[in-house]
Amino acid sequence: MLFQQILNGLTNGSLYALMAVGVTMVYKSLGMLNFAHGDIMMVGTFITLTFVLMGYPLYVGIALGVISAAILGFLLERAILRKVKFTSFVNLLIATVGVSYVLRNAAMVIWGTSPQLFPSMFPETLIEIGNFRITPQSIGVILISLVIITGLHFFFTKVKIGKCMQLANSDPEGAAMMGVNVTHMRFLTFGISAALAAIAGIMIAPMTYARVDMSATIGMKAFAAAILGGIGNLWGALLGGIILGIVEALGSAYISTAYRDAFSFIILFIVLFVKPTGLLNKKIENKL
Amino acid sequence: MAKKTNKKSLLAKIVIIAAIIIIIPFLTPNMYIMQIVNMIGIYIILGIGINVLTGFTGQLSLGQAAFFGIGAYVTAIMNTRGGMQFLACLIGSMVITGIVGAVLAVPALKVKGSYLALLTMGFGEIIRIVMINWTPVTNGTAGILEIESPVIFGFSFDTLTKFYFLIMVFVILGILYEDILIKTRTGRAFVAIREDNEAAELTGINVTTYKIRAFVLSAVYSGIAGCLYAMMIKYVSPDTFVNNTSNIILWTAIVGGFGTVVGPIFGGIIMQVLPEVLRFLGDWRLVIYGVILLIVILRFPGGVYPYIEKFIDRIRRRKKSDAAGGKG
Repeated sequence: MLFQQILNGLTNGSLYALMAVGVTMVYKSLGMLNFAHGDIMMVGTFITLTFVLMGYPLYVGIALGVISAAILGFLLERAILRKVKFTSFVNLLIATVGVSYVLRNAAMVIWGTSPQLFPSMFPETLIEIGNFRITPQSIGVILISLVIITGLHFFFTKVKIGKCMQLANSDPEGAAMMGVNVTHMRFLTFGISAALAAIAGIMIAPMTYARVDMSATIGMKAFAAAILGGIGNLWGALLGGIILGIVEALGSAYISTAYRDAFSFIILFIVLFVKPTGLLNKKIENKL
Repeated sequence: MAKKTNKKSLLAKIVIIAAIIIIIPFLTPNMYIMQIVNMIGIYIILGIGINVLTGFTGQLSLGQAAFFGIGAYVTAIMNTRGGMQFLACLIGSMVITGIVGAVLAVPALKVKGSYLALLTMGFGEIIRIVMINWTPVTNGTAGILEIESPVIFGFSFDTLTKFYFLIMVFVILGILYEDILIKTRTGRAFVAIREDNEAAELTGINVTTYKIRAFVLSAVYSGIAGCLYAMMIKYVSPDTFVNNTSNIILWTAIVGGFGTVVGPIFGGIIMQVLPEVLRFLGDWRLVIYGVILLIVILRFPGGVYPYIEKFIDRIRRRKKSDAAGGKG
């Protein structure tokens, strides 16, 4: 029972981590949270579902869903955020909230509000080890998330474009002087962040059904995970996501199922109150 | 001389506003539109509440619907279970939202910017989850039915038209209080905190108490709006106090004019009338509504009121220069 719950927590947690990585990337380049992150995830998931229902194979659907989410991320950056006048930080944040509102309501019109079955990309048969039953789904989800996050780590530390992105985010003027196209890098940051969100959404949907309101709850959990681990930190996002997932699983198993979604927000409150910089960040970032 | 004309123009303003307020119910063709007018009033009060917190003090809140909901639920519970009248419910709503506002201020003092936005958003979600799951008190997703109309000293505000005047009393009191507050020491401290937290602290402003005060004040405004809402609709359910409502409350202050006294009035009218005007679009109206708001935010970063003011100013100046030209 305990083992099962921890495994559930790890599965959900690695998905929150995948979302949180995207949140963290955008935070680094923009200095604020992208409140439309969850909605981009939801739209990517539904686009995949639409292609699958049209008769395309699942993998084609996934590819198209992820690509369209990335395009949505590009559009968000190019058409909205770049147009916001930097009179105050509030305007930028509210613009992302506005995009979230538009996407959510558009999704409700296009795909309806009722939950829909989503095909899983993993086999159904259970793997039995002794007394424990493990679904291939949880193993697959955890592995894919780990591989993606490790891959991103290498991308940011070893690959030239990744390094340029890091530099453009931490020191835009310096990067521009070194000949890095900061605008393109920011563009790319949004695209990758949105694509990661869509991948997470596609793996979450088979477990919870594809539903329009998943954008709000999962989006908020991604923020909570990113802040818990220390925003701007790749491994922090992973740690935050996994802690959040396990606390949620244990809390709903042993305390109350009804308050399942509240646990992550209570953790968020505690982290913001005790250590707003998160677990893995030491420096206090004075960004507004 | 100048003082006299000032007094005269003030009197003229009061007469015009009073006339508009009295005429409105006679111009509304049916109860449906009357209800929209009343909702405008409620959203103006909500807009003032968030304007104090975000517009003047600079503390972004994305969880304002939680205070609105708490106010509505306190009134609903006090009225249906305790059998209490309007004034008692109103005071109950104000006190409890005020306390909750102070409690939220404690973690909120530590963070700013997107973290604060996220904190308030999370707070809103927690309150909504509690509303759904704390069934013995809130009656869960079914909500609380059969709330009575307000009765003050034997006079019952049982129709929407009568209720309109009750709401207008609170709208006017709310705006007057906001107007007076902003000119006092407290109001100046709020603006100083918004402009530069550290500088405000250096000049001897106790940032902590003023921020808590802004949170409490904003919560109490929302509590009043919640009480009026519950008594008007006669029904409360968790569906009303969702994230979307918080966003609309925030936009009410932003679209009108952030950090201006009359901004929420314009915001309240625009935010409530626009969805009705867009009704011909059917299902897509909320999408278009969002797109229009997004354009307003991008095009008029400070809200529409400062632009209206500038426009009126330009016309006035042109008239003046015309008159001067005529004389010459």
